[in-house]
Amino acid sequence: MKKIHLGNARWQIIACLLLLSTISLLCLWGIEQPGVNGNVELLRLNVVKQTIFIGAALIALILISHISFNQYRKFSYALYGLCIVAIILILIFGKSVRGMKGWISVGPFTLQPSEFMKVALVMALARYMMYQKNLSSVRGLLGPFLLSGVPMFLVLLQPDLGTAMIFFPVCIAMLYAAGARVRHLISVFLLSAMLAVTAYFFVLKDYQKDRLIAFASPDKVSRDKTLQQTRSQWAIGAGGLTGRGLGESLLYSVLVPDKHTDFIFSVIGEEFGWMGCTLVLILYGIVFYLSMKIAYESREPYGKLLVVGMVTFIAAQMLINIGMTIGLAPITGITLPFLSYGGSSLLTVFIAVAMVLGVGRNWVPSFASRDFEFRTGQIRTELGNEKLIK
Amino acid sequence: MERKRIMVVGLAILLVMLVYESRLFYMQALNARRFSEEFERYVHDVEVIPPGRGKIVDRNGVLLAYDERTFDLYVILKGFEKSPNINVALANILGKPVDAVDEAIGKINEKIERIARTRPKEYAKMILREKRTPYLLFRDIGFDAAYHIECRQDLYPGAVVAATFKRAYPEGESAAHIVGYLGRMTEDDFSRKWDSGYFTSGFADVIGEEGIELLGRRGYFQDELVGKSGVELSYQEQLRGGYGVRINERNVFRGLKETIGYKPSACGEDITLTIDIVLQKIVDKALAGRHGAAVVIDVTNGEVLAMASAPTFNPNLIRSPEMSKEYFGEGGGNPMLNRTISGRYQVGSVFKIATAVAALSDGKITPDRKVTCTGKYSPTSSYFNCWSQHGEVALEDAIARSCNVFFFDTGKRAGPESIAHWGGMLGLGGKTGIDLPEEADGIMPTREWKASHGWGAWNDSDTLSMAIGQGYVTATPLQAATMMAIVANGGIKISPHVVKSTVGEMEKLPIDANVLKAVCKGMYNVVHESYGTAFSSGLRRYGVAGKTSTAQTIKGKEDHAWFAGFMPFDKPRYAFVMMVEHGGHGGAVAAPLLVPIAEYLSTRN
Repeated sequence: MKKIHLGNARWQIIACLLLLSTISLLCLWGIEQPGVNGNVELLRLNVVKQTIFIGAALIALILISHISFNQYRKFSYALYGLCIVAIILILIFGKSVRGMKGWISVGPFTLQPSEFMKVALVMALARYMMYQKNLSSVRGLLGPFLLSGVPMFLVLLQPDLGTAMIFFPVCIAMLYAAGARVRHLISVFLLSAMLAVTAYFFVLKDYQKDRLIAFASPDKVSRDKTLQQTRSQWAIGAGGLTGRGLGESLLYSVLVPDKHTDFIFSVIGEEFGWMGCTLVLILYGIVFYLSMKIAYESREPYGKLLVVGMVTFIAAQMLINIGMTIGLAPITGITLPFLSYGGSSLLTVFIAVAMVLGVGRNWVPSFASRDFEFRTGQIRTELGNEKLIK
Repeated sequence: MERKRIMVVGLAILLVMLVYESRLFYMQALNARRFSEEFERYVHDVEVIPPGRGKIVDRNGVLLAYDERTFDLYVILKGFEKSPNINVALANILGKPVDAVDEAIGKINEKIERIARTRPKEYAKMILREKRTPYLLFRDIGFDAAYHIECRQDLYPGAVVAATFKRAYPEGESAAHIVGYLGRMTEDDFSRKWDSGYFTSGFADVIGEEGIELLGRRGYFQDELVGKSGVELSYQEQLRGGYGVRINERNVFRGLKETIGYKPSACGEDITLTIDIVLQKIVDKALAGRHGAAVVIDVTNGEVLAMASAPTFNPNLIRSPEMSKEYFGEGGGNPMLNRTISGRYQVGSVFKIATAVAALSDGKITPDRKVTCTGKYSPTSSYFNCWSQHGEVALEDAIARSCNVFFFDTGKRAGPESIAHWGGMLGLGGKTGIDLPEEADGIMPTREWKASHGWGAWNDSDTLSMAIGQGYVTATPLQAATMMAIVANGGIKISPHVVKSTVGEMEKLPIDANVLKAVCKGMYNVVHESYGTAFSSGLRRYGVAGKTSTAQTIKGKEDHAWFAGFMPFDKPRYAFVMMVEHGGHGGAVAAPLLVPIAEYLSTRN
């Protein structure tokens, strides 16, 4: 058996992940103390389940980080296609859970293909952009936008605004890192924003707007969600500097449905206070910093873009979720990476990190005298990397 | 350069994280308190537990006042306003006019408005919050209405029924003046009590100062009823008990509420009166239809066995507006006044007992000294007359016949200071200290008293008037009864009281036994000798001794009719007074009214 070699795969990243997982388990344990009316087993089940998820995700992380990205680079488009098909199938045949069609049952667990879609999209985008020469032209942007636009549209049909919102920043960040012109990106951004606003205010009729809002925010109880956001802020503020302490959260009594998934950060804020929140942010910061460092040091375009994409998707998800709990971002139903309860999302972010670690491990020694650069007409390292790496 | 671009992406993420971090610092380090308050207010809900008020029972345990379970209707405006016709529906089920419902709702709206204005910055928020709070709409809505509203919440959104207590007085008008009644506090009274923490003692440990403040803003306790008269007032603190409070944590998750702080309410003490309700009813009946007062005291310990004042009122109806009109309107004869202790009346001849005790004690006369009554005290004066010509009379006869001339002479010999001194010792001219509110003193005139009122120097005619209990002299019926008790029990001062547990002070007064014996014999003769002023009253069957009085009042009005006495003569146990306002002759009007009372007392063990 080959020795587990993380190499540049940064044991620090894994340590941060383990710490975040521990915090997650503590919170779940805290908010699910034995009840008085007999649902003890059921409650504690969440903690047990999450422990299993974390274990499985860790194994997946170590395994995947040992696979060279060259191995799965070829499957980028195939995986992308597979996820698209899965989402379409669910849209047609899936059952509605709380107003959303997004889950398929696999044995005792339910899977959420749109979670894996994120990883697949990053892979496909990286694959598409790695040798693209014409990214600096407007026409060259068409491919990436099409690639991210299709899953975005499909996920919106589920409807799952939160997940759809992740695709956009991922696409923009990867395009930017791949060398697209800033003014193009800004124009695209402004154009789409203007289009959306114009459409909303001038084209749509009132009942259509209502439909859109209902469409965009899937929960029929969207008003309750707003209340949840307010209470979440109270709870976080009430945590103060040091928090109420583990298991002392009062939030469980007012935030019933999503306290262990979407609003877990509120529980952290209430139980561990400002110090706990800051620790969580610092851990995220370390993960992002070390990952970006891998991208920075890598000389391989696919790997580089892969890392940027993965980091952006995890960061966007984290920022949108925490922003929601502290009142700085709109309410969407997306999970907090590493912390929220749930197998699919946990597995997805662990796979994403595993790929980042894989890139770090498999960094390719450059044979070029200069850095690889994306510039029109200046391709220098097109020496058939695939052969070299083998 | 592509490497730079990776740094830019990383820095962009870092920047947003820094914004979040500062927001967290703002929320958790700088404004934690504000968020915390807001949160806890939402999570916790405070429940005030009213204490049960103590019962009032008579000396044999008959219920005179107790808390009856009733239903109050509260309204949560937020839910109430959802349905446009709910006021009509409520009026229907409550059997009240729609206007009454609208008016009550309007009052609640005003109250909320007032509360919200105290915090102009958060006006809209406060309004919204208060509209989610239940406010008292109507008291005592009756079981049927309560049941209906509670069962059909869909018909009455926002209407909440709360089980509570109502003060009930099963004996109604009997002893109403002693038991008293409840009423709302005045605003001043409320704010004074609120500031002193009267309602919320012990709350701070459970809900904190802020919680108390919140209760204050919500207008809790303002609807509390307090004693307004009688024992309900004078023993308010013992009867009331103390509020309890409970703070619950909302626990939707577990489907139940968890109590995180609890202070139980303290029930009020029960109070046993010295009143014998059977006797009380007999006394009430004797006075029925008249204006007057009567009181029966146990001479051995000062316990008041019955105390009636007519006309009387029904404390069960006192809070309904219709009845209030009757009681407080014109021509009602002021039924709320307890004439026994608050009415100051000309005493008349009953006062002669005091004059006699004064003159005998100071040695100015002897029991045998005789005075000749020719119907006139002084040939020159047209005022100081006797009501008959009694001839030669000594003390016993003079009392029995109520001879004015004898007492003019006796009073002149004793002098006003002596009469005031001994009269005061017998309980006249000052409060008896009974444990009921609003006791009046009387007037025992002296030289200083007259001068201090600017009515000039004391002269002989003042002394003569005083000697027969006319002129400036006034007393309450209770004071007269106290005097009778002291005379009857051999000169032991008693403190009349209506509550059993109140131990009245007893004190032997420096009055010679022979003096009292002589006076008592005279009073015996009043009833038992054919020439006595109350001979034909029918009291002599029961061994009653006493003194009649026909006290002149203002011109054009009948005299006050009095009879003050004690029984049985051999071993005095009860002292009593019967006074009928403008009733006429004491022996003919007041004394016969005492017959059923004396009959009951003679059979009472």
